[in-house]
Amino acid sequence: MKIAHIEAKPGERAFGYLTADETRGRIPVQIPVNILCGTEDGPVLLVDAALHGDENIGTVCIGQLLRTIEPKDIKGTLIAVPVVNTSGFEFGQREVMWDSKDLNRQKEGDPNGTTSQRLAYTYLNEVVYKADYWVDIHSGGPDAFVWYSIYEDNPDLTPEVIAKSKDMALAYGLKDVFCRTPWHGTLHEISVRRGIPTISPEMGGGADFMYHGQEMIDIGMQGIVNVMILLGMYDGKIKTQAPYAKVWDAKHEITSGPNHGIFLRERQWGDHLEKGELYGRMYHPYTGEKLADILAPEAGTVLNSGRVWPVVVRNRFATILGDVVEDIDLSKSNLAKFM
Amino acid sequence: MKIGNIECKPGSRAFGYLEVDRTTSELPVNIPINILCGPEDGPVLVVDAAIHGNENVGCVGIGQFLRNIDVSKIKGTVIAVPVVNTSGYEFQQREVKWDGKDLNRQGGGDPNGTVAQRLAYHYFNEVVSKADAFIDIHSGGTDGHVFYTFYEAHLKGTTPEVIERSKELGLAFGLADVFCETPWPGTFEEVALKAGIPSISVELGGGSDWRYHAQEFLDLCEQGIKNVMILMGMLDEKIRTQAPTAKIWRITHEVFSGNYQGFFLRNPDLGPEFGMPLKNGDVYGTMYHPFTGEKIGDILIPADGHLLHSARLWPVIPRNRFLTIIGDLVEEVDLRQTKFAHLLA
Repeated sequence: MKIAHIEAKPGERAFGYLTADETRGRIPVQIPVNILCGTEDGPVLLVDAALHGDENIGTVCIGQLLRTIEPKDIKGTLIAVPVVNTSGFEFGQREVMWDSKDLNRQKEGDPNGTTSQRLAYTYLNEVVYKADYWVDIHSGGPDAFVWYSIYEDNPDLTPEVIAKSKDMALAYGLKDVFCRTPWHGTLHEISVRRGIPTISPEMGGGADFMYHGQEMIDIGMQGIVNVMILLGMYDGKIKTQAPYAKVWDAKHEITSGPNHGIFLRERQWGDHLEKGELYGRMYHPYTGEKLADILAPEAGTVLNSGRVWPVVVRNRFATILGDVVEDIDLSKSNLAKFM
Repeated sequence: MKIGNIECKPGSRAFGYLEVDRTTSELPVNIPINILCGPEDGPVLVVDAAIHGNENVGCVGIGQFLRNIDVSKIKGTVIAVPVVNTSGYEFQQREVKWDGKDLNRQGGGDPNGTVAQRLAYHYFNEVVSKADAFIDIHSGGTDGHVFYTFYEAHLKGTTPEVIERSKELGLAFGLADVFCETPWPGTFEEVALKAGIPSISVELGGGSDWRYHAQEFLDLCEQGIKNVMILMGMLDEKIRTQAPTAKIWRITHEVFSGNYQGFFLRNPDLGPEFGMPLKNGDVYGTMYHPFTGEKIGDILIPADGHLLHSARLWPVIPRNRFLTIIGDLVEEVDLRQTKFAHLLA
């Protein structure tokens, strides 16, 4: 496997930087790429994290995986990119520093565009399109917690890509799975439309790192290993968080609304809210006065996803409401024989 | 009580902004100030938070205090400043945005200096100097967790009475762990102590715990402010503390990331307990390469001591970043044996 000048022969691992652009001050815009080439032929799995620079749990999971497995352990090839958006990572922010754009809203990118558009284009063409399967790991930054896997079930995708993506999402092992979301323009959407089964796990976040950091890392690494087992790239048994999974249609964002301030949640993740029911309250940062009640825009279950640091700007994503689509007993699913 | 153009008459409350400077593009550099004037005369308490803009637990706690307190029950005056460093708050960073300086390392500031120096000068002279007691609330930001009160038992340039009173404020605030000295100079607390104002700083948790313990932090904050008011005769209630005793600790060493940068993972065997004994050379944590996962090196405990619960929690760490504190136990205080025992619930 060769990506730009980074080459790994069968049984080898390689590490190097893929250059996508340079800034006006001539800082290189690079993507760090690890390639682990198994001794036997097999599928190519891409696993990455930090398309949003501050979402670093997946980055740490991938690091632990790279310390744990050797090329001889795998059949096929693993491409591991712990940080796609290196400038966002450098500055601890979601967006690419050089143009302030969200790298995961650039669709197929543009080779003649801004830095983010070039990054998206180069990353898709040089890395993602070499993969047969893609696990794109997100998480909260230090101020948010999110815990589910996303695959896409929409009528413009082939049934094979949907089915394989769903199996990967179930195999990854988080017990909540979203089959639809309101978030569009992602690289994930582009890759599944090109026929590459893809999932995006959300692996927790900062507010939990002190108590549950190692657990998040272990579950995240096991998730990647589970997908490799499902794809026949690795020997072992799939270990999931629970013997079942719930598939959700994640539909309605609750946002902070028109006020900046201090946001305090009144309801817990997992609670069912009726349309118009209270989710949280916004307070003035300097006087403590209540500014507004934050209400559910539609009925739904509060999915385990949300901002956990109280300082919130207006119209910021606070959480998401959804409806359950399917309850799956994993022992009766396609995964049963791997478990 | 009048601060700038913010005036509060007995039995009322007022809110306004004290303007201390303008930025290059003429944005106002303001400090938001609440004044609560009780109907009767009495001491003046200044309580503030977010001198470091991203340390927001105290801001929220002061907000809760402001929503719940009944001005008619106060004897004296409370000046409450939920956010001192408003630009740091805006951009969610420790330092003042306009000059990159740490507002809590400017001593008494300078009226002709940079924005942070002017902020320090005006905030001290127009607000803190009016106080009979000063509570400066800090916390972790989203990426840190710290949980203790501190006072400066060995500061030169103040009096034993001011130090003794500060210790009482520290114990009355109510957290179970108290530091009696710190290695951090140039703080507002230090300037206030030298001006004869009994003062404490409080570290009230931080983001990593917010999900599980937010309401607990806020309640401790509100109760702590009220406890100090009770101690000062400003409120006719009982002091409620976290525990019937408090441990007083001395900081001996800070632990830094040194030459390493990358992903820092704390040694999982250490656990989150406050005061765990450690030996020189014990592994505090390990740094890993961000892009390959390789181990770069271990961060070691620099001397025998106790791990004082002060920790960076988000794994992304640059070189020479403060990680935690090592210290020794100086004293365990039974609050029922203190001078304010009669005020305890």
